[in-house]
Amino acid sequence: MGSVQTLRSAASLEARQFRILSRHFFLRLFKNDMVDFEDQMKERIIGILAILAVFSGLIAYIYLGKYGFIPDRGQSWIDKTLIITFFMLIMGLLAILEWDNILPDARDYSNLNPLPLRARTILAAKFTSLLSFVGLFALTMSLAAAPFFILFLPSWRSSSFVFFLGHAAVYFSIMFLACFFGFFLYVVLFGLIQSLLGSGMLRKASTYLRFLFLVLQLFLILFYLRILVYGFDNLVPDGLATDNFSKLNGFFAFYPPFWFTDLYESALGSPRLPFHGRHLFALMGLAALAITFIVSMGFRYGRLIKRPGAIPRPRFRRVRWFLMAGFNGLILRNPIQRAVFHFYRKTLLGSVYHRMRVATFLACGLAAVPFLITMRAVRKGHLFDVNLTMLSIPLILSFAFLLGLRSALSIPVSLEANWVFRLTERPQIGQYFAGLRKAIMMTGLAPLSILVFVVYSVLWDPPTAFNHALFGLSISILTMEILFVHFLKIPFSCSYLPGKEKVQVYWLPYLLSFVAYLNITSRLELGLLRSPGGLAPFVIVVVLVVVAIRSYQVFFLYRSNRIRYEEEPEPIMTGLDYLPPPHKKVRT
Amino acid sequence: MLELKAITKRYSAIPAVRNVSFVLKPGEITGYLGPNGAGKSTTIKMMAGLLDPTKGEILYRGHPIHSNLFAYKSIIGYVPEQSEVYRHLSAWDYLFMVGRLRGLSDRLLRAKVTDLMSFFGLSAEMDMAMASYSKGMVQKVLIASALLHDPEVLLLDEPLSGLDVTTALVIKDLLMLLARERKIIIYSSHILEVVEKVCSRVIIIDRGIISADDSVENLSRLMNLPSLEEIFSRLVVRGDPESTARGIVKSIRRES
Repeated sequence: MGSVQTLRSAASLEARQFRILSRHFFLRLFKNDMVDFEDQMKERIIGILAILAVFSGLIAYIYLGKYGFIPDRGQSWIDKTLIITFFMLIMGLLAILEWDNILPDARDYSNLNPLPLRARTILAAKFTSLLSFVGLFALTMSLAAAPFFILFLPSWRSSSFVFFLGHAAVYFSIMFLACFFGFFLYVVLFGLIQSLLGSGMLRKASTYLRFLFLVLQLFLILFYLRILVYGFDNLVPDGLATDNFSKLNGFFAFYPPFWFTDLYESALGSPRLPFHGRHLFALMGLAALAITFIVSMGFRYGRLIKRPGAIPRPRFRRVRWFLMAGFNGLILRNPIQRAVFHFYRKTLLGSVYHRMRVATFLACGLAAVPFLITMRAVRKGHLFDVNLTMLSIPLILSFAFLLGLRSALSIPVSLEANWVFRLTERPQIGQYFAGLRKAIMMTGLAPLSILVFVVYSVLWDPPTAFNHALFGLSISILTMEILFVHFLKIPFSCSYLPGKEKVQVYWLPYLLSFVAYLNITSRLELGLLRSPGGLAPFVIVVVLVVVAIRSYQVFFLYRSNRIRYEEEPEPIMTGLDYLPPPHKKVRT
Repeated sequence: MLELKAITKRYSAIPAVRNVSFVLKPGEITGYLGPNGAGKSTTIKMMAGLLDPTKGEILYRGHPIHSNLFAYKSIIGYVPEQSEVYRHLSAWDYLFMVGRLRGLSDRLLRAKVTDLMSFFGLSAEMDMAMASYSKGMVQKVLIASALLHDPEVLLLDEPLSGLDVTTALVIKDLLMLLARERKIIIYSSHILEVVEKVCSRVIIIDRGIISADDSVENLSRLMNLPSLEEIFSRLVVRGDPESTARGIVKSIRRES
């Protein structure tokens, strides 16, 4: 009797631990290196879910709205596949954003291992938290698309209420499974990479892998939006998609949204689809993902227990010192510039949060590149022409990099440690920002220009590629000067007040400005490349503008301002700066 | 000479330091004592120029430090109470950054940092990110960063916190040597034995007000108490420590 009592109390304790941990892991998914919802978490999640719901509803309306008026004679599968594709793409993006919080990490290990917790409780709670996360997003997207799926489509087959209910149950279940697949595909991929690389290698490679996957996923989303707007025109050879399914068999086998469409139709007992039988792929895929996830999670936690916090030793120290001393002597002769330059460099290398912030912006730019190319891919030899699309690519990349950097530099890496900058502050403010400019140039703009020159030399001829790289560099420097003209902060050391950019308010002017910037600069470049004599005067004009900006900073801005360590909050009320005319001034 | 003249500091109307005045002389190590929240760190931060006093002024060699704060900051070394450093940097990177910000050349820094890291026993770890350091290791880096530029004024807020016994002994001897070189040193601590041994003068602050300022011998003679611990207890400690300890034991044994 006593042992039964003991077992019962142990089970009750474990269940309680499981509940607490599941909630804890679930909340941690909303506070991580890429998405930090510490401030107003609930409001932000609701905002994001609302945006997703609107998009899902809109996409469902675009594809399935017509079935309110025309009968579904078995042709709706392609529309359903496209909607399922959207759900899976969004879940894949969420998995990449949650990259570091998916599997138990060293922080989990150090906090949870000293507590009387079983590994199975931790792992089960982690899995449950991820399922809840998927469930939350799947439900949001499915609910928004539900009227079209469970009201419009079944009405052509039966008017029975039971049929509607069954339809709804199948719809929500299959959408959840599709979302689970879209999310866990990346999760498992991450787990496998981690198992193959080990913790040390993964720590180094994680950001780059995440960046690559982010570029891929954003590209797929852009590509999806292109299909949404323009259809399949110029993407699939005419007639192939509709007439000859046998040629698409390979595509059916490897494109998971087809599997889930088949699963959905099979569960409803619909007439056979051209790719009937692929629902088995979906079921096998789901089982494989669940098993692989549990195994890799257990493997990861086991590894943490065996070898917590292993720190790699640096190699080639003397060679690095020698190279760095040469670089410092050549480029960074002032000690303050050196300090700022290396602090910037080391922070981007050492802080995942800041690195990922820049990488996210850059990924958006980079994802647009293949998208732009494929948009015009129908024309043979397009890559080898000097045209607006090809000219705009480096401008997009440099702009995305600078924007990401502007955003990341404003966020402190460790606010409480900035006393060291305050204590060592010297009156030569210009040197701090000269160091920052050099850092941006040397770590971003210069390598990008060299890369542009190399790639475009292969595509075009070297002289044109050189002119193109020179133009891109000039515009990038000008953009940098404009973006950082009033930046009076040491990078990563000033307090940060989120939301000052007011993206939610100004996104349209920002977007339009960006499109205008791209159009104007690439058209200008096209003109200059056609008559290269104009390039030298253009570069001189850019240099003069940069000198003017720099003079304004040195003679006015830096003289009347100090380095800023505290971000000033926005005023609660914005006035119109009204000054009474002199004759109405009150004499005191 | 570093002089505090009727310094008051308020945080949103709550006074942290009230009307504090004292003078620190070259060659003197002044112990700055007080219980938690007494205003020690606030005073030291004001002396470092990191906080502005609400009232009063701080003079260095007769001039207000705020009249030329850059020049003043260049001659002080400060060890903060909390181990607040950029933990993603290695000790080497951090010390180089601080040295460069102070205008030291790379050649000089390389020599100084290599020596200091070796003396503090951090040579093997100096390339690792400080995120992996223990509290004592970070404290060593902070002490090294305060000494890099050979400062004239040393402001030490709990400098021995987390240090091992050997390093603590080294720091004590180091402070006495630096005092002989006519440096101005203020040493804030909770460890009364160290203060008693190292400091030629002791200032005790409680609830933002100075309650004693003299040498340990004079205080001992005036108050007729044998040790600094007893002087401190008489001036600052409220309530009976033994009964508080009993209360804690009773609380942790509570079952329902």
